[in-house]
Amino acid sequence: MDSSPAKVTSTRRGYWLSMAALVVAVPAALAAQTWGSIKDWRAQHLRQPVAATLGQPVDYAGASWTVTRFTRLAGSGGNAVVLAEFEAVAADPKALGAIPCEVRLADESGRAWQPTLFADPVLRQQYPEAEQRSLCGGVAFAAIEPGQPARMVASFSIPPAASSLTLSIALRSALPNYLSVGEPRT
Amino acid sequence: MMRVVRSVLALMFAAFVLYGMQHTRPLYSRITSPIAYSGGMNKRVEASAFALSLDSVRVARVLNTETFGKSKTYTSSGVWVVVEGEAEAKFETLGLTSGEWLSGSGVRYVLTDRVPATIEMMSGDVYQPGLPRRVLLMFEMPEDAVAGGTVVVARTKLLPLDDEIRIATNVSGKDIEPAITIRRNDEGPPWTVLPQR
Amino acid sequence: MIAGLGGLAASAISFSMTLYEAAHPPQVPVMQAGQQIDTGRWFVTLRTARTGTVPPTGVPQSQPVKLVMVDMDVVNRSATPNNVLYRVVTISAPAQKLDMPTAYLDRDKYLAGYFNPNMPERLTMVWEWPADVPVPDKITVTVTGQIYKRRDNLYGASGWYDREPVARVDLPVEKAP
Repeated sequence: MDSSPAKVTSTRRGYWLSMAALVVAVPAALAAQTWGSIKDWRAQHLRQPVAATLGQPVDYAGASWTVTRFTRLAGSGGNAVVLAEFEAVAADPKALGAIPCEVRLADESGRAWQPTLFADPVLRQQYPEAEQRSLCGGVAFAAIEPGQPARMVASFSIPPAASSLTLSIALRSALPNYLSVGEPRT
Repeated sequence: MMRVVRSVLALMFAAFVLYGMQHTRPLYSRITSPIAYSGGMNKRVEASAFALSLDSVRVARVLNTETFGKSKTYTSSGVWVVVEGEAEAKFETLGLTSGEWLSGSGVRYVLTDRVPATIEMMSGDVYQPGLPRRVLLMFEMPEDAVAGGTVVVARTKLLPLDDEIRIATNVSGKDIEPAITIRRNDEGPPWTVLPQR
Repeated sequence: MIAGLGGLAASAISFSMTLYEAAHPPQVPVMQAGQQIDTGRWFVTLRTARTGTVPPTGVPQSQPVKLVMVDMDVVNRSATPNNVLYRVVTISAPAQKLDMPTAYLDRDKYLAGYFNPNMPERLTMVWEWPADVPVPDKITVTVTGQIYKRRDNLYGASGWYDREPVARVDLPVEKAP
């Protein structure tokens, strides 16, 4: 083994350099690893409302959106049914249809409802035309020409006591911004 | 020579420590197990995302179903256990897709997949916040797994550290009916368990 | 240096073990139809084999294909429901890889789902047989064993792991419509 003083010094320097590099490299690796998760978390939890009013068009996600109906009815099983109809005019409907869309209804206590898949019988009787519309997403934009409105619907089943309702429409590409409409006062 | 002995000893020590760590650590299934909220029959048990109460457990040798005028008979090498109750989502719309019967000796039985979805079962339904809904759970198991069983319900089987509600059913396993029928209704409650009692 | 040598030694041992196993295939016990085979996780009793085009539902397919069907009794001996029997019971066609079989529950004459623990069931496993290969008069069914590991080496998770075949059973193939 070579143990000349010069060699020992260079070995030592290498050792401490590596140790110092480790102090930098380990947190950097951790940060790189968690960055994706942090971004996901931000996308899911940090949301910025874009306020809209019933009947007024609002620019959101590269299209002009109008909520045309936001109404509450008595449901068939002691529940309340909320019907929301809205439309979007886009320069490129196909591109808009490719973006996942999430529609929710929330109340003041923070409870959140997803649209029901099967419409309540009450809707079929009172708003049969709503059944012609599709949920927000690809199907709604499939046969739409640029500049034509894509008409969409969402219905919710909620407890009658829920109050101060807010409808939110979120497109994945436009997050953290989402369209937010309050229930009209009657 | 000393150096070689020392390296060998160090290696053996390291192997010993690793072996010890492997065998004293809790099992993976335990580390990732759901957070359980327990209770008994006829009580509303609250988890953080949903609540569940069970009010009826019936045991039968044969299960019949009646849907839209069609009836079908399901035999078993054991018995059928039909559980009814009520579930409610608390803050957001959710599904309850995982239901298990945990026998007194720790053996698991899952919701039957033999009965088609025309009978409205817990796992196919959607639960809206603030709107409690009746639930129907059907299990198939050997007779000796009935007594002292616990019903375990969760949103899905795949989410570690999620909520799970465990309800001890206090059934004796001795009261076995020859047959029960689950009839799908056109209106009113979605199903009826016959004979009524 | 020592680590390098150790790694080299480990790969040399593993390679020679593979070579040895290839040269000396393990003797799989030959068993008879009707005998209960213990695979660790399952009890499997093979009954009969037949070939035809009508699946066990009794409803002919719109485009009939050649099927090989094996009837058996099974009991799940583990503590959780399971349906992964296709890895336990296998047959082979000459020079072809068969698609995954479908299992039918005799009780319902319908697709089998989960097999609950300690509940004996009779079922039929159905393989699609290649159209250009004649079905032999006799097929060999291989039954593979599984062992339970309380802690696997990666996560320390409990689970069942496939092992060597535990039995080979020759079944005569009946011709059915």
